[in-house]
Amino acid sequence: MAANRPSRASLWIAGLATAALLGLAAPLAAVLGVLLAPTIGTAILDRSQGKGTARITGLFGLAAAAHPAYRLLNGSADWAMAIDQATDPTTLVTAWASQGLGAILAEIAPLLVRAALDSRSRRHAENLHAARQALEAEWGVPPAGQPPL
Amino acid sequence: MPAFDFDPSSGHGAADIPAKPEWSIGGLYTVHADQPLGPIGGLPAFAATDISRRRTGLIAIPCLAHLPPRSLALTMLENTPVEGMMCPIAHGPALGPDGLPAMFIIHQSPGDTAAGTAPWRDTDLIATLLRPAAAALDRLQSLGLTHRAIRADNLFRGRHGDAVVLGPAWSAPPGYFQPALYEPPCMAMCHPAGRGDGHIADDVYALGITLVVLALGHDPLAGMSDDAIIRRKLEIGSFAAVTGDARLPTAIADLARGMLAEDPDHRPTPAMLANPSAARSRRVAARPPRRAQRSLQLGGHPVWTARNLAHALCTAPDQGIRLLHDGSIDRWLRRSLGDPALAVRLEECMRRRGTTPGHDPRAEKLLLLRAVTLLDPLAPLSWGGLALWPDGIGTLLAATVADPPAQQAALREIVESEAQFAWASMQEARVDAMRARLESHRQLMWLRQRGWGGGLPRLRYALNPLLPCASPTLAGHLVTRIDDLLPALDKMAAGANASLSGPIDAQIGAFMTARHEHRIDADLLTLADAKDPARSALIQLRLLARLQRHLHQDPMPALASWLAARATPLLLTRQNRTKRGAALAELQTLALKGDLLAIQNLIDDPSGQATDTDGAALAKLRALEIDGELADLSTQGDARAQIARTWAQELAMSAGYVLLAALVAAAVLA
Repeated sequence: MAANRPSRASLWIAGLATAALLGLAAPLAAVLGVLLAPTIGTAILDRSQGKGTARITGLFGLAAAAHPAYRLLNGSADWAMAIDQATDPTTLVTAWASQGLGAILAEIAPLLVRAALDSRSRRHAENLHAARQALEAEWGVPPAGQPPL
Repeated sequence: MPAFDFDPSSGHGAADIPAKPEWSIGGLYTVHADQPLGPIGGLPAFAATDISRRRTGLIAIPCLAHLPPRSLALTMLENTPVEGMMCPIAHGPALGPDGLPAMFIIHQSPGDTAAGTAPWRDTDLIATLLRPAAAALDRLQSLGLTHRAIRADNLFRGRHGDAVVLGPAWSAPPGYFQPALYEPPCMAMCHPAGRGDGHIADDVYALGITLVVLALGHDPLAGMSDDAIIRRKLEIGSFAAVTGDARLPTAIADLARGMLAEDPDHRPTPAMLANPSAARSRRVAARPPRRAQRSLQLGGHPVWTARNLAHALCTAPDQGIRLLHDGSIDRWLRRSLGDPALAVRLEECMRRRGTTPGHDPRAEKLLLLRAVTLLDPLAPLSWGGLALWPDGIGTLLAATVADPPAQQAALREIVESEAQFAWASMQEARVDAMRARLESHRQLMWLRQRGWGGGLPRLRYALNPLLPCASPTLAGHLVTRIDDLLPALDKMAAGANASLSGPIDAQIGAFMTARHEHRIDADLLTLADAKDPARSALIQLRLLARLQRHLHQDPMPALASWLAARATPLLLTRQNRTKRGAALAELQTLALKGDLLAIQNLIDDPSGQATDTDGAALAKLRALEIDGELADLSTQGDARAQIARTWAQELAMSAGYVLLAALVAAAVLA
């Protein structure tokens, strides 16, 4: 779908932002890279149009990486602190678990919505069948599939 | 006294004749079948009793089924009796001797037959017959009626010396039972049922003949055929023909000479006869008929006078028209009869109305009619051998209904050709031609009416107000008035005949439209062409419901059930099953109530039908829509999955953004 395909400009902007981040704040980029490693992997593996799962995973990953990144920027923002942050098991598990939750949500949510929609359609079909049977009983309309009298 | 209804409580079905044969007319008069009185006035008579007044000494005379009684005379004389004649007291249907209903006319018992074998003295004739009969005829004339049944064997009196009473004359068409002797030749040559009401002068003529017969003590022309009597009267005049060489008392001879004048205008009126001396002295100069030097052979008899020739043309029309065309009659008129003026008038008539011989039979009949009227201005309407007086066409139609179809065909031609007007226009001095034209047009309109409301049956019923309906559906019932129709149909519907296709047939249709003043011709026309039995039943229901409403008649449950059963298929076409079931249930209820109009309103409901049709169309449309929606639902699985994916992503993304915003804010604020 063309609407879900990233445009050339957004790819350029994302590339420039990444390059700028690597150039200006390489330690931060490294921390984000480690913390968002599952997202990066998902983005590579996700073959669906628009890469919805990767985007949801990324959002959840960014949310989990917001606090470590803020601490790095408020701190010395050097490579030592970046390595310290990136190797902190709590931070790492939290970030990766958050991304896992996002991935699970991305997979389960369609199933739940689909179930809700199917249920609604079934109720509507039942109502339609009842209305048709009433017409058949009241007006002698031939049952569905029979030629009209 | 008005006519009475048939009393169902006292009446019996044809298969249920009571052990003691008594019949009731309207529950007011009893007819004693076990007391026949012999023929009176040409018909069998029975003793009768007035139940309400416990009066005996009455007689009941039944009418013949195909001969309608004289309705106007019955109506007037029942209300205004005339002294000196047997006037009707009441009339109505009762069971006849054959177990079937017949119209009976109740009279006061007349006493014994007055005529005997001995000649009457002239003083007796004048005192006991002429004066009272003249007074009665004078009264009858003032009522606009005629008797038309005065003859020696239809006179009655209590005892010798009492005034004679004229016998009954109301159970059959005027002059129906009169022998040719008692009728003027222009009446005698007509069909007995087509003589019409005639004029009071015809009664004076019959009274004159009666005087002669009673004075002689015998029929002077006994043994002669009717045709021979007519020819003799036309040839030498009625008085000479009847009296011949017989010796009559002078007074009677003088009176009879005037009373038997050929021209009705020359006969004394009843008022004049009340004073026999004055009537005797009255002399009207009448030229004797011109006699030819040589006779003309026509119809197997020699013709000597112009009136004889007219009569011969009536009786032998085919030979007559041939002689007219080949000029034989013209030559005979000029050379033998010596009446060139008459020949010129006849020639002029033929030239103006002339036809190619054999080319147009109807035109030739019309030509013959004009020729006859020209030769004998007193002659009746003559059409192809059938002679009738124009006002007798109705009774003749009724009387000849069972005869060979040629008679009815001739009567149809008379009406279609407006022969009455053609005849009247040649008799302007005697007949109101304009009135004849209006009557002729009226009859033609009835005849040309299409469907069951027209034709000869319509004419028959319209011209005979007391003629019973001849429908086979009503076999065993005597229906003479429109009020009697629905009860008779109701009884018939309750009986074995209810399996017939429908209550109204061509005869009943013609009867209804002739007797009912409301216009039903359009419905009868539709009914005649209706092929669908249910549609036909609906039209019949509409006609009978209208009749029931207009006549304010009682419920007719059997008839209503009968019609409802036949019209039910129309209700079954309703598509709304709930309303259809309710309508069928209501139909049964209404049928039991016998309300024809309510049944008609239930079945003949165009707005309800339109609503039903529209509803059915909408229902089909809605069903199609539903089918479409269901088909869409069954094929929308992939689409729903796509929607679910999109919505789920949006949802998860939203949750992610919310979480991101919350944690960023928490990190900044911590």
